[in-house]
Amino acid sequence: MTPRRESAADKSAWPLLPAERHWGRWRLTLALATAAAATWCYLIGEFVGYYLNFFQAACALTAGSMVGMLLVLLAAGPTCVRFGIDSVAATKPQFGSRGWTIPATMQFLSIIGWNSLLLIFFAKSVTQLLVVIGGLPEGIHSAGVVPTTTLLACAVVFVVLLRGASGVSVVSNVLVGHVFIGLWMLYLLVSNRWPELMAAKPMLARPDHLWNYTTGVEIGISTLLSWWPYLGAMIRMAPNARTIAVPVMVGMGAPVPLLSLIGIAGILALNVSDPSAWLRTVGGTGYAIVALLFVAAANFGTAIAGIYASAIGLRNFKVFEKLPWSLVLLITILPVALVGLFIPELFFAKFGAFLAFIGVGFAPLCGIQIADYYLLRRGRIDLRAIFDTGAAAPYAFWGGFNPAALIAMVVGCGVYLYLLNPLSYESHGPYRFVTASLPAALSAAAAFVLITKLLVIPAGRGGYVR
Amino acid sequence: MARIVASERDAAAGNGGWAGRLPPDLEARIVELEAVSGQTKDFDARSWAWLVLLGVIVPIALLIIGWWL
Repeated sequence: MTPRRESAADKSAWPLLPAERHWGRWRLTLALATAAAATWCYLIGEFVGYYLNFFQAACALTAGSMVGMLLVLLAAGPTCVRFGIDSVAATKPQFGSRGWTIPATMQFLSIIGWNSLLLIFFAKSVTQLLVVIGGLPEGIHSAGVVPTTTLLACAVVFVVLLRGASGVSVVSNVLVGHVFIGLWMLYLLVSNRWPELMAAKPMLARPDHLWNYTTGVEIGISTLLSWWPYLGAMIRMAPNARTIAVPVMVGMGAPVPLLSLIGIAGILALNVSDPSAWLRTVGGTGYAIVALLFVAAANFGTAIAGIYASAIGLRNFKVFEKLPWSLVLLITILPVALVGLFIPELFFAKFGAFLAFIGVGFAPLCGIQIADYYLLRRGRIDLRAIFDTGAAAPYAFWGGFNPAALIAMVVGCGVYLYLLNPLSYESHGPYRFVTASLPAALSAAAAFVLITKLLVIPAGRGGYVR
Repeated sequence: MARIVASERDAAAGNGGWAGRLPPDLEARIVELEAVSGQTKDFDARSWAWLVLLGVIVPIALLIIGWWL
């Protein structure tokens, strides 16, 4: 293995060889924790805090998060870590040699959408920070500062990621400290406002307590399912599956509920979840600076991991396969920069709804992958077929698309949307007993298995062993 | 495992598989990973124990505890 070949490997979607996978448990845990912990944590906490008290919210959210993380790990984990490929490439055995573009599109839209939001958050925090430390005059309009700061952040992300996965790792080693700052903020709030926190009534709690509790669990599951796009690009750097189990469950699964406690406590005790808003009240300007630094660091670390994962995902497209890494990065970052430059406020206000619907697709996707790997293929994945785009290739199915996966996705999304509207949180049927994500994953898995056994395997498609 | 699948398919096709269609570097990587020694293993028993503990038992315990708080 030449050094040049090795250094370029983590910038392509081609499988990584065992010698190129050098992220041990700690390195992986730090990278995953930095990716997971961002501003969305206290937004998630805020949503759960609308329905449940502090302890119940903490238990429901943590339980849901760990279940969601398990589903994502079982779906993408085995194929990604065995062959050193990313989440998108791992969907080819299920979706087909062309059908994988559906999960790839979901990944791109989800990561770019979320990272646009995070970098706008980052820019707003930096603007506030400059105001607090006197670098900008009080009351300055953010219209000019936010786009400039977003562009600057995009430029820094670009420079860091020129180094590929090692750029993600180096930044994680520095930025992971923000997780501890977050825990300190939680301690500060809980110790200062304990009586208010215990007396607080969740403001949107419904009379049906089971519904409130299930919603706390559902928010945890659906949030962690959104890690599917990120996971493959990170764990493929680890040498084997034994190395990833605990780092993924603890490093990526635990920080979200842990840091969401800040949002839960904030919304219950002070009616505001954003620590940069309440820390000034609780501890003065010094604390506000720490909080703003926390927000900036958290979002920056996540954006770096996200844009790296998205760029690797794009590499699966033929047109991006041979392009220089710098150009692929530029193409990945460009939509984020354009959003930050031209429509930051509009995006902030409207795009959340679109992201909520994109997120609905990850539960069926995980169900399909788990059913295919464990039930139908029993771990027999053909690596060569993943990269073979020929019409007669095992994963070509029909014209490159597997109807079983497409129908199963429709079934899973339909079940989710029937059970729960992700925007209004109106629910139907047995939602209060079973959540929405779990039945969506289960129904998609069942539909996939059924159609594969009735149609795909008898037709001799998909490389299944009869 | 992948080597076995590929070998069965190649034998059935009778043409030595798809060698030659893929870029040489990718081809070399696949050949190395198809070898049993090149492949990394799936979750072992210890990993499964952690997954069941952290992804099933802990959530169930938290749900029970949280319900009564």
